[in-house]
Amino acid sequence: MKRLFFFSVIAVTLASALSFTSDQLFTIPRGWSLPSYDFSKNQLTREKVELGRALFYDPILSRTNIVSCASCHLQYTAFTHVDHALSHGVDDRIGTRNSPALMNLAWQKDFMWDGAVNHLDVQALAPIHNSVEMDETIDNVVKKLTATNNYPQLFEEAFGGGGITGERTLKSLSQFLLTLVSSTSKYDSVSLGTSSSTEKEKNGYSLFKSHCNACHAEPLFTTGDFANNGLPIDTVLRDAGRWTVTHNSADSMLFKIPTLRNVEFSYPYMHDGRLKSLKEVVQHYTSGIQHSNTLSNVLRSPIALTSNEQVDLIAFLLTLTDRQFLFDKRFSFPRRETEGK
Amino acid sequence: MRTLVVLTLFCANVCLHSQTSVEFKPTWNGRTIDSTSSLLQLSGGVQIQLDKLKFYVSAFQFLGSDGSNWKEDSSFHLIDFELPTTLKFNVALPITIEPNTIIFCVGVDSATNVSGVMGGALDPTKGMYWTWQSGYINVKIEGMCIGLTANNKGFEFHLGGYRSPFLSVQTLALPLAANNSSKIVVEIALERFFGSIDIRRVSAVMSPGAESVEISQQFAKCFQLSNP
Repeated sequence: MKRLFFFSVIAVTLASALSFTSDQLFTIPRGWSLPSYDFSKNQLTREKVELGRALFYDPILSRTNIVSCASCHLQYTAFTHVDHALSHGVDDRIGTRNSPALMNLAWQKDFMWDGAVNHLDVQALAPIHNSVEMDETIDNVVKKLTATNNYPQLFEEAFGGGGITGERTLKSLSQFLLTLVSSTSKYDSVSLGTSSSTEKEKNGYSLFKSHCNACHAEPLFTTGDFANNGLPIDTVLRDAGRWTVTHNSADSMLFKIPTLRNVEFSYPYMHDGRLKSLKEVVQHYTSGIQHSNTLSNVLRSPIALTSNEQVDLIAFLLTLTDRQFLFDKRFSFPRRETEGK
Repeated sequence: MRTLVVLTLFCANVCLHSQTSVEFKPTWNGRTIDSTSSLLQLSGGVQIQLDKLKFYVSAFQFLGSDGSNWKEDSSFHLIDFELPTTLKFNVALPITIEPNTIIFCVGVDSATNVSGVMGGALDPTKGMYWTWQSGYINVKIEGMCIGLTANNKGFEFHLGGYRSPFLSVQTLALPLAANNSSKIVVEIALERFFGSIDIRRVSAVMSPGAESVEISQQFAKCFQLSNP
């Protein structure tokens, strides 16, 4: 009897250590607001998250079987595409926008620089179908996945019977993307009192709160809204931002305010990657703003910063780098080689 | 005894809901057409070649003369002219309702358009979801117009839009004949649609907007209940 009890305790302990509840897959960082994503419609499970991760890194999603999500969204560089103002997709085709950094997506209501996508679950359809990105169709992706040796079983383990569908493919991708939470930067540990900033960083933070907080509000470092930050329209790309979706003249040249978390690694900056460095970004705000009817109210007067203050502001922005997130193996290329061919 | 109880309960469950069939019949000047039909004649020597007709019908409701109201659950059906089996489906209408009106939408409602991805008839693999901008394509009508202009004029209408002021989904309420509720046939008199739009002026609508709303309204006007 005693031996049975002993082994039961071991079994239960092991089971709870190995089980992955949705609590461990996604946790709301202390002090953050509730996410916008409705988890009740797509409850996280380990199998679905891992399936989503396999799909994220699998070029089977593209027509040429060469371009994957990770091609433009690399983990080590804040899940974006560095050194590329505009990303390239299949056949080296070039797009019209800079790839956004992917993190804290559960708190986002709109997706893409112009908010064309209204729900995370349907976001992947855009790059999959875009002829200059993956040039595929979700219908053909499902056919290709069904023909592989491994995906039918992975889908069965995750969803049960019923095969591979567009809905299940997209919901698994969402599940992986939802786990990409970045909240362990130096800024976060300073906020929690477990680290201390340098004098320059403290001064930079103070300047940030005076000049940048209205749009890049803590702790997400974005309000999630759209704003015109005074960038002149690119005469070649002719991208009018949010207006493209709403056709409301008040939305001309408004773009989604991006998060500044991990901004050290998400260069180049802005919707078309026109600014190469943080120094150029700060200089845009101090002396490069172009006025128009739709310019954000908070930018109507230029931001006045001395050169020392500019350096301090950048010092603060560098504290938003979250190395734990950037190197977290849970988000990296899955160890077991996925057989997509 | 146990078998009898089970059998009674089974029968009760089946009998309390009748299987009412709803069928959509595209017609041209009163004649039923299918995807193999030859060119459709309009006035003035103009002919229509219909290559694609695909649309959502949803939110089915049946109203009784006594004020009763029954709504179908998960009510989304994709009607595809090229797939005859999709033209007809059953609804589990309770026998207690004697409906005198059928209500449904042509298209997908706004709330569903902002709820992410769904399966079944709404699965994005069905080719009825805009990928570059979120939202369902309520109706797809594609083909060729012959004899209208010097060269044949193709037309491509992908009608959608869920944001005010360009809401394209149309709601229809059609009166039902008194004793004909187990088999409902809805005709789509397509000659009305092609007679009301001007393909010379607008032959392609591929995004939400005023044109999409206008053309969606013209399409909805084609729907009528078939005489028994």
